[in-house]
Amino acid sequence: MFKQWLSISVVLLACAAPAMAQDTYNPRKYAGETINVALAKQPWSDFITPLIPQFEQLTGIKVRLEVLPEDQNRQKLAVAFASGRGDIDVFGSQRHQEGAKYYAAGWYEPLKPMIDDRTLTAPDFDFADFAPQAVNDATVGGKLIGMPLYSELQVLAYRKDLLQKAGLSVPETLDQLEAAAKKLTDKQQNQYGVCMRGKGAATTTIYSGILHSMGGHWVDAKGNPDFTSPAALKAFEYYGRMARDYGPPGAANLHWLQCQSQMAAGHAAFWTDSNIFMATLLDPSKSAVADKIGFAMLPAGPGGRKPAGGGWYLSIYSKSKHKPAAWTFIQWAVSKENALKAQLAAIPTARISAWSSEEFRKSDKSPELTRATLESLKLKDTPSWGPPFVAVGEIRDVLGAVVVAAIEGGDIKSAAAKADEQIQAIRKKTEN
Amino acid sequence: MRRAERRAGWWFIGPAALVLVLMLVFPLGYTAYLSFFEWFAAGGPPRFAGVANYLQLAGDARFINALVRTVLYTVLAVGAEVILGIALALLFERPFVGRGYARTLFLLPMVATPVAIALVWLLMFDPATGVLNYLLTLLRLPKSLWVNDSLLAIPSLVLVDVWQWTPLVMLIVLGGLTALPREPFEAARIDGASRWQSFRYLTLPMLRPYIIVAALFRGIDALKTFDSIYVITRGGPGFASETLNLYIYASAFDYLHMGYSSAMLVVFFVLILALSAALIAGRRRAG
Repeated sequence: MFKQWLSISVVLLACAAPAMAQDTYNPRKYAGETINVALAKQPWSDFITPLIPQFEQLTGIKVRLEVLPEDQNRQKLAVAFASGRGDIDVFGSQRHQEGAKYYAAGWYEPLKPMIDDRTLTAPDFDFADFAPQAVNDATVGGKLIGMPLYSELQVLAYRKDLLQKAGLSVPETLDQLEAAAKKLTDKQQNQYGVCMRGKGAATTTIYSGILHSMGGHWVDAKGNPDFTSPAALKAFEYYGRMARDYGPPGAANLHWLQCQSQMAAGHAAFWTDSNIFMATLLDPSKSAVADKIGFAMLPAGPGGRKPAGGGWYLSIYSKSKHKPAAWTFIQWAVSKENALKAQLAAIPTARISAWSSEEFRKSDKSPELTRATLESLKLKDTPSWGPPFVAVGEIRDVLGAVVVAAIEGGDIKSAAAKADEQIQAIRKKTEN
Repeated sequence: MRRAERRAGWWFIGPAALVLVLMLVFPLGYTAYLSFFEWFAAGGPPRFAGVANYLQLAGDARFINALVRTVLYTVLAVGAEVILGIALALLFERPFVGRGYARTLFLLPMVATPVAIALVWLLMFDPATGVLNYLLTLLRLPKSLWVNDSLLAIPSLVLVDVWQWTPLVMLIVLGGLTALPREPFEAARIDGASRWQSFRYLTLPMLRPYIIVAALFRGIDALKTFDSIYVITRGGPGFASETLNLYIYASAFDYLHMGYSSAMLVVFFVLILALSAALIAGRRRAG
């Protein structure tokens, strides 16, 4: 009797074993599928592209990668999603840009259910390892819409040698920054105190930090834009003065790439922008002043220290036909191992383990940038790069026109009042 | 036999004609249809809105400004191209040493890729490191901000257009010049007319149909210019160089306002049709 029971149990176990094996994570489960990945050209996409063959070998999933400049990528995604095409599986997006719009349209696949599914997620994925701020930023309407790639925020880059020569200390306030920029500007010698973005909508990203440091906010207590408030006007004037009086000519053409070049070529003394663009300044093969660059937090204004922030996320298109394979790609891309590799490549990732690892601490080529980033991450109530509206692209264009008017020395008050009106009109059409 | 031939002819051109009709009529028709709907592509299906889009256009300052800029750009560009094109055609009419090579050289701008040209011009326009400001300093003239100045943006872009498309006008007018009959000119010379009088009272009037054709081609294209403006200024600084085509593109692909963009496209199409009709009527009067 016992022998029979034993043999039946063994047979049952033998049948159950393969079933139990199905119950754990298997990276090769979706081998043979092909996924389309659309990314914007950035430090992280440059980092991950050569590693993709490793992923294909590991999982048997084929990856069709397309990397486009940021604006073109955004347009391509918008058109592809609006037309209902299901053939983009993984894409990069920013919550403060397209996040609200895509969420309202239902184009993001919520990731939490997949993270919690043991058959879909590797046991060492460790979701808790992601910086809470980054996860918060990637959460819209209570749903996690993407895995964060960066701990991205606004920092100040400066030329240590120029400050030393002029006997200046690192500015702690925006007024000090302006005074220092003024002292270090010599337009005849092609030397500029500061490089500010000037290209329309792109200015609003940097304007956010200045607006909030002056005590302003994206929306007032009722949730409406208020760009005629004294703080907002002061911020416009400050931005305009800095760009016009102490910045390179042709401000209207300056985006982060041009300012990065100006800084790397040694023409600018200060540059405030996202920390993810700063590693290039320290690379001797790309920067003429690689050993002379220092980093600090964004100087404080009357409203405190408020550097803007908000990163990029890897998301899954809700109408993708390869969601599990797409998730396999995403979790590999932001795995502990790859995050550490990225961190060592001077990319500020969103994983706490990467920041605090021994290897990073020992090999950190930019301890100042790390310190500036980590200290900024500790600040409270830091603003987002962009305003919390659905039609962010259109509204950033409207707002950018006010900043450009400020740079050109035009009438800021009426431009700001018009912008308030236009923004409300746009919101009426796009938010319900 | 004639009728059978005719019917066979339809079979030959039928497929091509069908494709042409589908590719022209369908997009136009669908755009006109969409213009009566309100459709924010990230917010759900299109909703019927009657003429609301058109009414909104009438009060949209950004649209009206873009329209004015488009007309300004076109008038400046086509005007300069026609004058320079006629001058160049007159120059190339009589033979001189190296004329063949010179003519080929002058035709090159027309042949090159618009986006590549635009990128090179963008570099040349750079106020700090660009070649154009360097040339200005050599001539002891003050540096200019070129496309980075709100007032100079459109004229600078017109410069790019003139550089690239004057050869087209030159080609058309040159063709006309060589086709002109000799007798009137000989008669005029016998009558003692000066070179200028001969040009003004004989050449120009006889060239009029060709000039109008050239102006028509360039006018339609200049109204629709997109690639060079998009690459060089993206409509900036601010909106100072935003022409209608740029605004429509932003409205459709950045802001996803599909219905509104369709309405703008219909108005744009009517504008181009009106210009073409005016020019063609002018040509018929001349011929």
